[in-house]
Amino acid sequence: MMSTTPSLALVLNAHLPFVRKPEYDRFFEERWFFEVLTETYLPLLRMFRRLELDRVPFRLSLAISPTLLAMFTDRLLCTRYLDYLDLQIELGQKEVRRTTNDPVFAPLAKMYLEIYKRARDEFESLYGGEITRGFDYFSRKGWLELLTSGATHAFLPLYADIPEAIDAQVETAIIHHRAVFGKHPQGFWLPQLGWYRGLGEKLRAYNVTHTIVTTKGALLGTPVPFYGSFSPVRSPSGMTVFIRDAGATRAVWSATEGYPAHPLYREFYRDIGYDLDTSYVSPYLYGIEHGFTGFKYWAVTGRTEIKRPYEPAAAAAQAVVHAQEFLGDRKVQARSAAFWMHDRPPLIVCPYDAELFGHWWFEGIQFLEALFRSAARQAEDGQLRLVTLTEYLHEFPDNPESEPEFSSWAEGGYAEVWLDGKNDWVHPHVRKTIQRMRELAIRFPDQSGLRERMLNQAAREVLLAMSSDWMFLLRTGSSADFAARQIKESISNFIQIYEMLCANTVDTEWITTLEKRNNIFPYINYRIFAPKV
Amino acid sequence: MDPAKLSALSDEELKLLAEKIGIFLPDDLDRSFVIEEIIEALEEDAREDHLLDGPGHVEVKKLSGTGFIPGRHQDIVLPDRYHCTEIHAIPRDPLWIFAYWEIAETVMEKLLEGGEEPRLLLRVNELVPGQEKPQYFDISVSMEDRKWYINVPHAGAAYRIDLCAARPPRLRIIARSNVVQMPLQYMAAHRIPQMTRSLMILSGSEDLHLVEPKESSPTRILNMDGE
Repeated sequence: MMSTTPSLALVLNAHLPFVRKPEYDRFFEERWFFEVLTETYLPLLRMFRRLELDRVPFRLSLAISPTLLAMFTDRLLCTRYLDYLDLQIELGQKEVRRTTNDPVFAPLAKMYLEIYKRARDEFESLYGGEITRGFDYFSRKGWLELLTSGATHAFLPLYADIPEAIDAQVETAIIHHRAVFGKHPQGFWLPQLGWYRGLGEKLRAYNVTHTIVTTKGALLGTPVPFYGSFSPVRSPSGMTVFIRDAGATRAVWSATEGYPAHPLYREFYRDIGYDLDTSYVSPYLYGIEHGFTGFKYWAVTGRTEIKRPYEPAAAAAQAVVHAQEFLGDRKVQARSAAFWMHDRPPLIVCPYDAELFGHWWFEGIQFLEALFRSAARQAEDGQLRLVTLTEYLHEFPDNPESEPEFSSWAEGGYAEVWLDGKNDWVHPHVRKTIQRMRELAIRFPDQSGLRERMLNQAAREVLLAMSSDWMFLLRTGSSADFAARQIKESISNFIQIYEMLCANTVDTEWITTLEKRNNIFPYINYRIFAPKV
Repeated sequence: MDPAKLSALSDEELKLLAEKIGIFLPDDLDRSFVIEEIIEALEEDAREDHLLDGPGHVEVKKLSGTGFIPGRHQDIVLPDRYHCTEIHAIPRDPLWIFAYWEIAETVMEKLLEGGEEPRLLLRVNELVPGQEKPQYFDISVSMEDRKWYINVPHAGAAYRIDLCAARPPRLRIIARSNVVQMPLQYMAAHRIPQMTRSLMILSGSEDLHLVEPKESSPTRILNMDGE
């Protein structure tokens, strides 16, 4: 029976670009992964366990990108994560000693020490180094829906004219997801919510049933969506396309006006890695002089350099207030929409970057927990219930027809972020590698042995070069040299393989080293780049 | 930045500040223009910061911090060209196309044969269904140019770019791009049922500026002073 209660679908996009450098003893950018493991993913799973223990039936859709999934299951990175935690624990112990006589900062130092000790204990003892087990467990219970995303988070509209590039991103993602979770993903998170007309056909061909687009992309669709953003639409391909809610987005996303900007919350940028002497912090930053250590003692306070000390209890209380406010606002929104919708209850879809919760917004996980608990208590009043996207789709399979417009969730709403003066030099190279990979797949349709390994590695390098993250960083200027290096390495690796194949030569040692280094997608099949008949 | 504070700086200090924020000015530029340029550049940066208020700022935070020092690694040089003759077009937003191209050395040599160097141009064709001859406009480019951001007149239209060599009266197409379908900028606001219209507003269509602004109505009564 169809529910008459308005629905709220919370969707998180879990993603990091692939950074794995076995050729170095330690590599600073691998810390991006270690930080989000500690601050977002382990706390998220911890929260799920608390909710389960208290019999709170939460609902969440979680898109885990194939690159992050590859890092979650990588033995080297997981071993290095434990080394990272040991270092953080050592720093925590030093911090406890340093702040011993300080009644304000000593409790905070102890809090961080506990965070790293608990992360180590859970990661090793509870999950045996494989946290995908935790996600799999809650997915099998039906409380968590797992979606996949583009193989290397390529911004798909850039490749709309190269169908093989889209196929490669989608097919590799699905195969990888199946290999880890043993289940076909029905939902597909569009990297950067990048959609273009015709993408639905591509996704449907891989038996993907649903995805999400921006409000702007949907409202510019043809025809205009009958229920605005309060119901998904069905694209001509048969794909169900959910629509992001603009109001819910603003409340959480905005760095200046959103909840995370509240004065009581922990300040992200003030870190002992910048405040204390280099000789003290550098050994914990893999040798660099200053950077984020994760030990942050100050509150947002306001637009001032003079910050107040962070008070965890007050911030936690504020997170509960914000969760109530968020739910209250969504109920008002749903009531207003329900006034116009007589044949079905409204749906509000709230997609966010998962790393927003815990990593940037330190109290974000507490916010989510308060939201789940309040929603469960209030579900009985028939005003709002939480659903996963698949649940909603089972209940409401028939949706108004519309084809959304080319769109993304970045500034401007189209492709400006990945195509501007700072990163446009990348595109001719990346697109040429795709073109040449296609050519190789046609020329060598049935290879085996070493040549097949070379072709598979070439396909990995092409996919890695397509990552939208590097183009994004080139544009913002943040870690831009590293981003440029990542792209150049992938393209250069591809070119070497291409030239070897063309010249019928091979450097076995080099290719074996490269396979070990860029070992993402072990099940890759280079033929994904061949044109589909 | 307060203009008064900038005025208090010496010429040398102004020059250093300009360099620091990435603007390079001719030595003989008047002080007032230098100050104006600096203020404009700083305002531009502030606008960029504001734009990062979108989802991008989370990505910046999760990928923040780098231990990568370029000088410590052997530089990777990518090929300057791929020895092919082709042009590609990628739509960036409703009104801009990014086009990039290459002319193979052999083709270039042939182009340069026979005296005067030809003029290179991009012919931007708007493809209208049912219309055999496309409408077009030309953009002159130099032999050294390899890319161009093309401002097109119509959102939602389809375009194709021809890379041409002109030696009047002859015009030769050297390469032809893929067809790009530009996205729409505004909603098709007519003939929407009231219910949908209301739901669109609740969905945030007003804040997203998706309704095409109407041109101001022509003034039917002329003021005596001609304004």
